[in-house]
Amino acid sequence: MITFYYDVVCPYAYLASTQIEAVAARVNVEIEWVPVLLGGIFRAIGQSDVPAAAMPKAKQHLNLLDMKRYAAYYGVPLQLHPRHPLRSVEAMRLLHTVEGAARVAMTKALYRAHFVENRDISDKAVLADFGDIAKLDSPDIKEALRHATDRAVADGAFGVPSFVIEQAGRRLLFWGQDRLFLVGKALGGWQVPG
Amino acid sequence: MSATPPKDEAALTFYYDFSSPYAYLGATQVERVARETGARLRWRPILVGALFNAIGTPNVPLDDFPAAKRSYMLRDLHHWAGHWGVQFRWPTRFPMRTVAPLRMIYAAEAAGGDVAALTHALFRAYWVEDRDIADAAVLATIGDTSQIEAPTIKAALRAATDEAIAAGVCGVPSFLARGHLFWGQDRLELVSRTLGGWDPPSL
Repeated sequence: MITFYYDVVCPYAYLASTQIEAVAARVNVEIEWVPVLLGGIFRAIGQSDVPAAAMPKAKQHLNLLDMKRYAAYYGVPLQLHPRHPLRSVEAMRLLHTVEGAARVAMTKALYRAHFVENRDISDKAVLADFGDIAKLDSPDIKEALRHATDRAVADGAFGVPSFVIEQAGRRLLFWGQDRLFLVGKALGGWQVPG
Repeated sequence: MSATPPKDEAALTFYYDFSSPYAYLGATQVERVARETGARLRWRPILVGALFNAIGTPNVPLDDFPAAKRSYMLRDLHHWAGHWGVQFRWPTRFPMRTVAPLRMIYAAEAAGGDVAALTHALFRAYWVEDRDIADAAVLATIGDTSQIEAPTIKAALRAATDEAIAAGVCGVPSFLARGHLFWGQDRLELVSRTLGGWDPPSL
């Protein structure tokens, strides 16, 4: 089992969403798709809301290039929304209104809407195309997103995408789409050091 | 000493500082990447503290990380060391002042010495053997320290650091391949593909 913590606001989590199923299939494990609020994780650990905004220019430039390079490397489209980062709390709540295959499908649809079609996923009218927005204000749904975010923080997550696997009774965290191959390697029998 | 990287299509420039654990990991792999792609490797140690001052980054980025990120980074280093099959231990002295060992590399280069071997010896002293590579007595057991105060050697390190800043480097290790800059030893796969003819996208 791979627990996959993600927020649809994050381009690197989008890249991970395009690769994680192939990684899981190679080692024949299930994926638990867990939508979380990245801003909630940042608040819990005391980090500024938009890490890119705190970066020096040289690093911002390379960071933008880096996501484009990985998208090209994986052969998937990626275009940041002109108003990136968009508010994603309603989109993440919407993902908690569904489970299982429906959640996976909605996740992919929202990522595509955001990073390929550049639709405004902070707009409820847009979200209505993807799920039942009448449920967004339900206390249970709000609590489900808070609970998922708390779980990620308890697992040691400080950003997304994060992946957690169990090995020899330990819960092991990996951060970043560029670490997915280590997740696959660990699930394939590699004893993770450290 | 040129302040701009070569236009040489076959060159792989490796910017590093002994102060960085990820640069150590990168140094254990960069020759393999150069060999596999037929690239001519250009070793360019730089003073990353001066680079950070120039571009406005905290001097020890790790100190500014939230606790969870800092703790993960230490595990991540062990993950990569295990992945590459190389030794690694977190040193008792961190951060480390590396001006002297960096200058030793330029002194070795000026004398026609083996820059690769000296680079590995210095990285290993700090990141495997936990030795104090700011200590002149320790350094003298690793290589020739007689020229590290020479004006031309000091200037060579400054020129390389300026070259890196001009190339857009934001940290180490960084790799310049066919005009494309990459940051992080975890990007070596992309570096390798670029040297093999892949054209990464621009913005």
